[in-house]
Amino acid sequence: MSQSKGALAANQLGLATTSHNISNANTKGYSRQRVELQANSPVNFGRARVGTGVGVGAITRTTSDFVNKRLEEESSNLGQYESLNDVYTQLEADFGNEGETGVSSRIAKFFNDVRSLSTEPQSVPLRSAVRESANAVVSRFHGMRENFDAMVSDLDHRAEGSVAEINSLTSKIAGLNQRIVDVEITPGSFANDERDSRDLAVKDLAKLMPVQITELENGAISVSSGRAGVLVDPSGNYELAALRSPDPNHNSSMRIFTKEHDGTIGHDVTASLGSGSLGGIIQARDTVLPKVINKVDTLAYGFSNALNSVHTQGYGTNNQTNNELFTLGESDSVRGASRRIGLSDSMTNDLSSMASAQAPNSRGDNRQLLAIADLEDKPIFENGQANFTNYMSSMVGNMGVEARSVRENLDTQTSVMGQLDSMREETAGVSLDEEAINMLKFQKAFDANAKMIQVADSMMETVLNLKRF
Amino acid sequence: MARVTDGLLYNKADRAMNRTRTKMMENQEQAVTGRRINKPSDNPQGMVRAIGLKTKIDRNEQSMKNMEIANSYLGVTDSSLAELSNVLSRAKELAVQMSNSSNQSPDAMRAVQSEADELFYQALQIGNTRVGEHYIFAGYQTERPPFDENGNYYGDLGQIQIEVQPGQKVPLNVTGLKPFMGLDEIPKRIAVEGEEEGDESQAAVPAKLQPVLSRDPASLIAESRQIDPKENPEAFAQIQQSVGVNIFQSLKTFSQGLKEGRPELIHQTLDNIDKAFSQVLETRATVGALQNAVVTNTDLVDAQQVTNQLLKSNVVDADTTQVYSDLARNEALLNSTLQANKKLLTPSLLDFLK
Repeated sequence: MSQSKGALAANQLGLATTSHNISNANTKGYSRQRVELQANSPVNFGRARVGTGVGVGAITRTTSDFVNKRLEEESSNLGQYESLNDVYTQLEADFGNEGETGVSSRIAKFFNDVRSLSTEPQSVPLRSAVRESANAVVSRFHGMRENFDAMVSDLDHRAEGSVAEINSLTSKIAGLNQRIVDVEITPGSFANDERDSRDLAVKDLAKLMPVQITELENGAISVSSGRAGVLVDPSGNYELAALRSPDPNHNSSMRIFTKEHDGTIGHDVTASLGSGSLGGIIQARDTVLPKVINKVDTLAYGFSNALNSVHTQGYGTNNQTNNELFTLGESDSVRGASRRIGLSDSMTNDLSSMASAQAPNSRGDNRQLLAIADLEDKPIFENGQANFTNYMSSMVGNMGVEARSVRENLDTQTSVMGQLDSMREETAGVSLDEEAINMLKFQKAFDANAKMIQVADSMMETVLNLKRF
Repeated sequence: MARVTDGLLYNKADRAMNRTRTKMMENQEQAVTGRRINKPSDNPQGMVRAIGLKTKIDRNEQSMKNMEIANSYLGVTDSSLAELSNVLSRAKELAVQMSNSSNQSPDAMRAVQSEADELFYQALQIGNTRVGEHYIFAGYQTERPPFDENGNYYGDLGQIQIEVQPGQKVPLNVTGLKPFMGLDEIPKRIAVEGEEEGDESQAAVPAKLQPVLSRDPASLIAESRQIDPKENPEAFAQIQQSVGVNIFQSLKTFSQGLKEGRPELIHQTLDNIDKAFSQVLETRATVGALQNAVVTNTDLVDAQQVTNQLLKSNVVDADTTQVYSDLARNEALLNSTLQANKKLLTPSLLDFLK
């Protein structure tokens, strides 16, 4: 009877585990658990060894360390491509309509308006049309620049958010480490659910930055990441810090540092984060965007200087010469040209200072306008290889190629992750059918054991009633 | 045998549905915008070509506008010169009439003289023809009448060019110097002062314009080359050969001859008018050649425009039939995905344990 009592308990445990599995069928990161039943050691009954029933060995989780490890690695890549893809999607939205409303089409419109003015150089409406289209070019440069600046500051905020997330995850992992060690100090007991949570936290962390995991004897793990060094060890977690410090060599001043337990700031790891969504954010901010910004700056700088160099040679209808068309503000450098470019004061205040003639006192002379319009075909970029339109369109083309390759990588990575998730599901996922079968199995066993008790009971009764006869 | 768990099935169904929906979204975007390329990565090379073609198309459109303007300028120039020819033929008619009959009544002489004066003013008006605000025979000095009431020329030799195609320019004007004054160049020393000085700083200050005087062109050239007709008659004869006739001066001489009754002046007028005819005709030929160039280029640009539009449309515009058939196909795919998922996800052992 006591044998059956043990079996009842064991099967009840089985049912409880099944119920736990079914409850957590949709829990993220949950690994299905299993009751390991084992036969109790038999006793000698004369010559026969008689079994003493069933006992519960342990409740374990089914998981594949290999798949988990791969998931961590690939999460980092996925995170990186997701960050990059976000940035390219924004950039593409900015340049998607380049042919119709972008800066190259506005520059082309400007040159066409100059050609239109060349048929009637003293016409005030046509002059003002040229000024308007010059303004449209300038405002497009400013608009692009504002967008880029907004993207940089958005990336900074996201990087700060990521750092906060990393810190919260590492602290969570450190806490879970402690609990796992506490639970597993008892032989045969496994901290299944804590381990699931820790695996999930590690996977989330891996999506933010690449991690290396080492599991220690006592069940705790230590987490480290490239040059950022140890993030979690048995003594706890090491935080990262996102600090803003003035740095003239970068578009943004937000940098990421390691931090000691006592809060002292360690070394700068901004440039060496590698993959992961934080690495992707930094890569977008410090590599992708600066390249685009530099191109747009170069275009603004080249446009302003080329036009000024021709424009200053000519005479306006007010007989003045040496007037500039555009201004690049206080500093004459490529850096920031798209932010500083503007119409010159003389152009803003006096339409008649727009140079059209090559000599004073000839208002019908349109030679300087023709010379300005000819600049459209002049290859002033890429060592004399590209004019305005070529330069801009090849930049947009290159961006398209890059965006496409990032998107393709992201697609590949997503499907790799899908595969790995499937592999994880295969071993660790809960199958409701399987659980239903287990439920039947344990229920039937429970019933059978109860029956056994009934049988034992009636046998006992039979024995007790013997003397009545 | 692999374990097939519920999570696996849900994930698969989710991914399959997402994939099909993404495709449908792309189809839909193409259908709605009517464009094949909606962002650079859709077709980077295509995007580059589309930008280049758009620039070309816009520029050609501007060329067409410019050529329309050139056409109207040249058209007005040509009809003005035709009118000038009419003035000349009337003058010739009168001169022939007056030189043939020996004894003319003073009344008739006066009547003819007043008509000759009228012809002078007509020629002057033609010389000061405007298109819009522009005096077309003034070179670059389009804002002021090139001829004053005595026929002195205040214009210059400026050729106003316009771009008809990238790198190709055509003038849209001829100056009044050749048809009216019989000159191919502005005689030095009596030309615009500022230009002669050649000093930038002085030139920037509005210079007092010195006209090309309405005189016999040969004497103007001789004077500017410092050739004395009496000392060097051969050289002067050569100059006389090369230059044309000052029409204003000729008409004045005619009027003077009639007024003073000097037949030799009327004869001289006859000679001059014949010469003037040919110089006007020569200018009209030049104008005709320019008109021709404009028309040819208009046709050329027109043809280019059609090709460019077609090329751009090929690169950029969505193939509507293709898009809609893709859309229909993906919709069918989505339906079958949903059907399959329905079949796959419904049955569970739990359904049968009742």
